[in-house]
Amino acid sequence: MEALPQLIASAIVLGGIYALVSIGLTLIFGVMRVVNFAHGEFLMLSMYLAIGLFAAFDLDPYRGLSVAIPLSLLFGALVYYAVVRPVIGRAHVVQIFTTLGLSIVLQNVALLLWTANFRQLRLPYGDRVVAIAGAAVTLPQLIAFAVAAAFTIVLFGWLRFTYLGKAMRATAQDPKAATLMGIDTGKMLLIAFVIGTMCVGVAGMLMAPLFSTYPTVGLQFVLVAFVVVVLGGLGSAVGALLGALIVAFLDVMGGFYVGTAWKEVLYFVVFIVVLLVRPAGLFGQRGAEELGV
Amino acid sequence: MLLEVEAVGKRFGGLTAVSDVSFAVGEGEIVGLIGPNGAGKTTLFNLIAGTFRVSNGAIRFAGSQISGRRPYQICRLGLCRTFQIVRPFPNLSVLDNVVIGAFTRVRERRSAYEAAEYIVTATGLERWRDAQARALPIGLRKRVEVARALATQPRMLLLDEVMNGLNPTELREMMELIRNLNRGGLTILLIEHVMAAVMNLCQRIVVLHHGEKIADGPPQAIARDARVIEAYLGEEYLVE
Amino acid sequence: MLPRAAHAVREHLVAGAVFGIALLVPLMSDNRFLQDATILILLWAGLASAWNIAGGFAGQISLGHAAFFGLGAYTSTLLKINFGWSPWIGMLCGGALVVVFSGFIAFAATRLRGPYFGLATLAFAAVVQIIAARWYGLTRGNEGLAIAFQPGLTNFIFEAKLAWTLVILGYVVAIYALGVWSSRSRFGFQLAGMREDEDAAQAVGIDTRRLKVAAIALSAFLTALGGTFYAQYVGFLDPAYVLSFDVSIRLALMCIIGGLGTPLGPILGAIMITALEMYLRAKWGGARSGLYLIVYGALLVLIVRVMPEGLVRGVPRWLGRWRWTRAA
Repeated sequence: MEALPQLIASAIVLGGIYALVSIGLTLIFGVMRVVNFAHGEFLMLSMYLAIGLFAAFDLDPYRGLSVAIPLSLLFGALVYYAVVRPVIGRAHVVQIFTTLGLSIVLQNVALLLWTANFRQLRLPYGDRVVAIAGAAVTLPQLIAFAVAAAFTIVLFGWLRFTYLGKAMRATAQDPKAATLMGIDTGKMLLIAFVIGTMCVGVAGMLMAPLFSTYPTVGLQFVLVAFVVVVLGGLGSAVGALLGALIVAFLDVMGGFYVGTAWKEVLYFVVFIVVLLVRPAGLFGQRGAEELGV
Repeated sequence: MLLEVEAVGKRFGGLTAVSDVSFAVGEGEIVGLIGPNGAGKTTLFNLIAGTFRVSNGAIRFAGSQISGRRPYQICRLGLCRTFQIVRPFPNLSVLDNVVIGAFTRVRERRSAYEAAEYIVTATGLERWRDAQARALPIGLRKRVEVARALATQPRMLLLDEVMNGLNPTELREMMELIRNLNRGGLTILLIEHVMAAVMNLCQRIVVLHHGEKIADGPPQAIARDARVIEAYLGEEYLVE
Repeated sequence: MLPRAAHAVREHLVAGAVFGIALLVPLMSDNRFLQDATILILLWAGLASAWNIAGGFAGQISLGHAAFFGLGAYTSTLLKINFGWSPWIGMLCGGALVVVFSGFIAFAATRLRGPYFGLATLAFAAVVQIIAARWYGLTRGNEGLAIAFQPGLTNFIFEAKLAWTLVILGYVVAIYALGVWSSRSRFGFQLAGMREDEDAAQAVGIDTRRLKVAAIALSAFLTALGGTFYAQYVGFLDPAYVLSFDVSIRLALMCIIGGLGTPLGPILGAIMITALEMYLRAKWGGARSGLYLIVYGALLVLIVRVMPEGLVRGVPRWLGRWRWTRAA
């Protein structure tokens, strides 16, 4: 039980990161009704960006956010216009395979450009440890959590309190009514996608010092993100937050008690159970899953 | 009484869509279900057809309880419905649409095709037999949906705003079709906004408002009913 | 879309030609690579056709069919290794086991639609893969399972490529015939209705729940049979491949590119994808092996957008359009 504070600290840090990754995904689904299978690859690209910036310009990922954020916004817009917008409103098969195709392309572009070698971003202060309440947290972990939390709170406030945020939520709830209210739903979809991409771009920068980077790293985290998002309710930001914490706890506790080999099974099983018992998740729209909406 | 709706209510969370509605439809009748928008008419249809579960009350068809049964079971018992926003199978031909309906009663391909061909002709659709349903104008698509429903050999049809969006010619043809079907023994309950059609076709009209039944009687009586007039025109316009 | 008579005949001719050519390869060619490629293409064609029963005909897009493939392969292999059972029997056992598992997927299908269902199948396959990779005692985990090469009919191992070709050809032809028969049957028509509009289908008396269960069970069973063939032919099972997301996606991809809901679609899709893959891998193999996948991915995005009904229905439509504009 001495390990408990350490486990909790790890879980909270991880939860913050998962939240940032998942909030983008849930936003995109909630507003666009599109499951972005390429979400993990956006994360992967951002992690490589962090490594590249550090290697080429000695820029650490936190200062590098000033580059990553505009870049990911741009990238999001590009992908939106080129790939996603043409398939909005089309059959699910079309949407699923479009984003899947994109994911395959991005994974293999990365493979081609940067090889399958695992890379690790090592910051000079990366091993500095901070002691908090009986747990030891490395500096990159702490910063990652702080930035992720800050970002999530800002995003949450934006969604809740600004006109644009409310317009976006309105579009998520009822696109037709939103149009009648004078909301440019097309613009909302673009903004949702772009912001979702930015969130995951930021997450990637924060994660680069903490995890290994390789072309298929996206797969590992996107699966987690899906579990979080389904658990929290597709389209709910609060749900993504809570879901992230729950999954992070399962991850860390599971890893500790059951071993890394089996913890994945643990949260997949949770995933399946949630999908079957309460597919809307904690905060999602009930019945949405039966309409496939 | 072929269809008996008994004190049926439906709540969606905090919203009561239908409250304590009771009425019956006798075999061979054409009954109209009218009311202002949001009165709960389509919800009531969805309850009768099994798409929604009743919150309270019971619905019986030909003596047996159907509230709680699933839509396909209710159809097999002989009660078939059409949809407010017309839904024929879009990418299939008119004939194939009807064949699928026929397969509910018949297992063999040849018999299904024979039955379907007959119904396609009987509903005046032979010219468009092989046309894709979604390429047709709305009047014809509605007829395809009715034809498909007929192929399931129903004793009673629930028609949801089947006149909606039709031009005068199509309207006349649809009314003719409904009258013929009824003459052939089919019981019909229809939701309609086109008053001329309702007054003309129905022997009896049930009026819903805010989820409650406010009137039930022959067309002439309904047209003069103060509550009905108030419901449609709003209280301020009530003629003293 | 239910094929009209003219379309259907044309498709049967193409299918017949494919089968004929496939049969001729081991008879007339000595090129082992070509013979091998033919057998693999046929295997994929069969597997994709099996997937198509659930994905194309019933409209249940499963992203986890690798689970059925792998379960079939592992079941027959483990029964052979541990009890000496003939893989033919093991194949049927694998099929039966998989039908039981498919009940789970079918249950998900009745409650979930669209992307939710896809995610559930994905998670299911992932769990199966993880268990297979970690449960060393049962499956030798990541080391994989090997099958000793002992040719013999009861062993389901053959020396001659011709024999393998005949078996796999039988598999593909049977599934094709099944597809053709079902599209003309009550089952097929009701599936089409369900695919077009599930609520409307229920309103006309179709028990969509039972249809989904039947379609998925059948699809899973046939996929498992293919799994056993794979195990016997390749002789080695690696959970990282056999139960991978890649395999699941591949099956769906072939059907989408070839054409969902038509028996010929998966066959053409399999030919196209496998041939493309082999060509690209040969040209840019090794370290640059990612390149052909980039082409895949791009192809996927393009075809799904431009010709979502797939090659079989899409190409004639495009040709028809082109001819019309030329005449004008």
